[in-house]
Amino acid sequence: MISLRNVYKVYHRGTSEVRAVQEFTLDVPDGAFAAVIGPSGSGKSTLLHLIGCLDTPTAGEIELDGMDLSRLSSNGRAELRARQLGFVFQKFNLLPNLSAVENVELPLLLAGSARPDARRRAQAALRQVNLGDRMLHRPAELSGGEQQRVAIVRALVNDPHVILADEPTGNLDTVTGEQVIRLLKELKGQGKTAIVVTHNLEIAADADFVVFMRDGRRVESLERTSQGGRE
Amino acid sequence: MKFNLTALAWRDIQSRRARSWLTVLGVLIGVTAIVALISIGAGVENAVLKQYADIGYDVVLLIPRVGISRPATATTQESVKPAKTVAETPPTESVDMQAQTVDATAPIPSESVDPEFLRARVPAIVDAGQIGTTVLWVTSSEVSGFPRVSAPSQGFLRKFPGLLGGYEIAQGRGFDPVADNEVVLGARIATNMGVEVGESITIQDASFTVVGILVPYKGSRGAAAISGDAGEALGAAQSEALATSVGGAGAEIIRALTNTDDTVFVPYEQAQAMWTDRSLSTMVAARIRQGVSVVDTVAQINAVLDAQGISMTPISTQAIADQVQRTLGMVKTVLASIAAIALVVGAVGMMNTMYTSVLERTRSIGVLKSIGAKDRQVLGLFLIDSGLMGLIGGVLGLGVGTGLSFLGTSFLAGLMGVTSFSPVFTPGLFIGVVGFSLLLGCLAGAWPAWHAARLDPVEALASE
Repeated sequence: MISLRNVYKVYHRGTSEVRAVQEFTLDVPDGAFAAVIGPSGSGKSTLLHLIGCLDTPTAGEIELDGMDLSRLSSNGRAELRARQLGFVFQKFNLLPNLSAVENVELPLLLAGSARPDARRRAQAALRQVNLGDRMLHRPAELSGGEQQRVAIVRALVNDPHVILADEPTGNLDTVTGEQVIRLLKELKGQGKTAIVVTHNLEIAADADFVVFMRDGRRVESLERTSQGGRE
Repeated sequence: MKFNLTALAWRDIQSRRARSWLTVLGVLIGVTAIVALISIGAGVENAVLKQYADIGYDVVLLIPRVGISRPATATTQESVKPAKTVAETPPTESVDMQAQTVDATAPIPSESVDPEFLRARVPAIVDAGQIGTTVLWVTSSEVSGFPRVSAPSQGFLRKFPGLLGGYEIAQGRGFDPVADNEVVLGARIATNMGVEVGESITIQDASFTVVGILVPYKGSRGAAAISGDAGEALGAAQSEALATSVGGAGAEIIRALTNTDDTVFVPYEQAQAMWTDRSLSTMVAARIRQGVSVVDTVAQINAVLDAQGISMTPISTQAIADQVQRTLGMVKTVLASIAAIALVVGAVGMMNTMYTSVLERTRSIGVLKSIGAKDRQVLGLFLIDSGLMGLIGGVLGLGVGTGLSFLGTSFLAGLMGVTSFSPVFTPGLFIGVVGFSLLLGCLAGAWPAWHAARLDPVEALASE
């Protein structure tokens, strides 16, 4: 369960104050698939960074499975990112000097896996997304869709509880975007909690939650009923 | 830690190959300079100190003071060597001086002290001998000139051959103690004069038979030559050197004595008898008993000389070697400091490279952090990156520096006429240089690495 209680994130730009997230409260149950929608600058990505331990809230509480994230040290947050969180970015964010398989095995190594085991698991994960023949290619040698698939595999390879995706189809054409959407939808069947910031209505349509944000606030939310409708 | 930072750092180095190699080059130049200068310096020091080791550190040289008089403090009459200057001493008086006396009330600086008298007065002295040196007009059937003429006593030849570069006879024999007008020639002067054993040469107006030719000297090249011009001779060198510093003079005298290639040797007694008007400058060498303090013995010798009003300065080979070592040490320090500046410049270049690398890889640092890299792992990654470049520069610099040292010593050996001179490498130099390069790399990368580790992941991910 991910719980946010009256969370604020305030940035200071010179003398001005920017409230990226404010009065934000949300509960995302385990295994839920949540979509966050809103205009640019509404605080969606900041919200994702806060949940993903990349940033700390100015005020309020964020809990992951009952653990208060704001109390974690820098190392503790890094540990959590390595073991329980998986990130998918709009710009893929693969390390350019490493091959696809090396990019995928990196979270495993950071989490303490032995190199042979990490390599074996990374190769298996890449084969599952039909990238078995592209493993030794560097990001620059892969198409956008292939890069994003590698990024998704990297996010999932450590078997994290939570997947956080920030506009995962934002840089992809329709066809490759659909491949990525299909991969994300598969997460629903794997019992993982996923929070996806998106403009893509197809992703939102399949979400258990849809949260609308504006000016850093949660302005509306829709929840899928047990019958499949929205309320 | 199972996460292999070194492999990742190596990938980063390879990804910016040209810049990495240029950075390594900066370290390489500094290390090369340090290795070459230290090993060549140690080689020079070894070569010089070997000369003193061959002579022995238990030898004291009594060198006449040129142009400096010392008032006598003795009140008793002592039996000493000539109690007057060379110019005043008629040739006939120089053979048996035991009857000469010193008038303590009218102090006239004496030229030299009798070795046997010195031994008798300073019990710590086990051996003593004397040698006269001058520059004379020497003629063979082919050429003529002013070479150095050395006149060692039999005692000197027997007990202090090291002071004459070993005095090893290559052809013929040494002096016959009872024969007159015999000479032994240094290797090169014999060649230059075109004479062989059994042939005659003329010194001043007297004819001498060449009875022996020495083995070529293995140390430094001689300065005097018989090619027609008067070269640098011991007497002149002695005067100049003494006017400056005692330690320097000692070193210069030993250098001139041991270098026998351009020297004509005649027996001391005959030289005393024949050329007192040529300012035959006499030195005395004394060997000190093992286990006795050299400093104390030098003080005793000084006291005896003072008491007799003899104008000589005792210098131990140990003191000369120490002085030489100190001087060389200073030179080495200055050279190593200059080389170290080159290395520091290389380190600054590396810091620049690393900082640029951090700026370029800011986004990657954000990615690393987003997938779970801890601050210390990011710090380690950049430290290893810069440390690796330092290490590579150090190892390559060591190789290039070693090669350069051999080239440098060959060049210097040619320049100095030294045959047995090679750079000195110690395990300490190898380990020290490589370790220092690694440390320097890490230090140069420390600030950029710290900067990288402290980057905010969100800001890092937002960078382009």
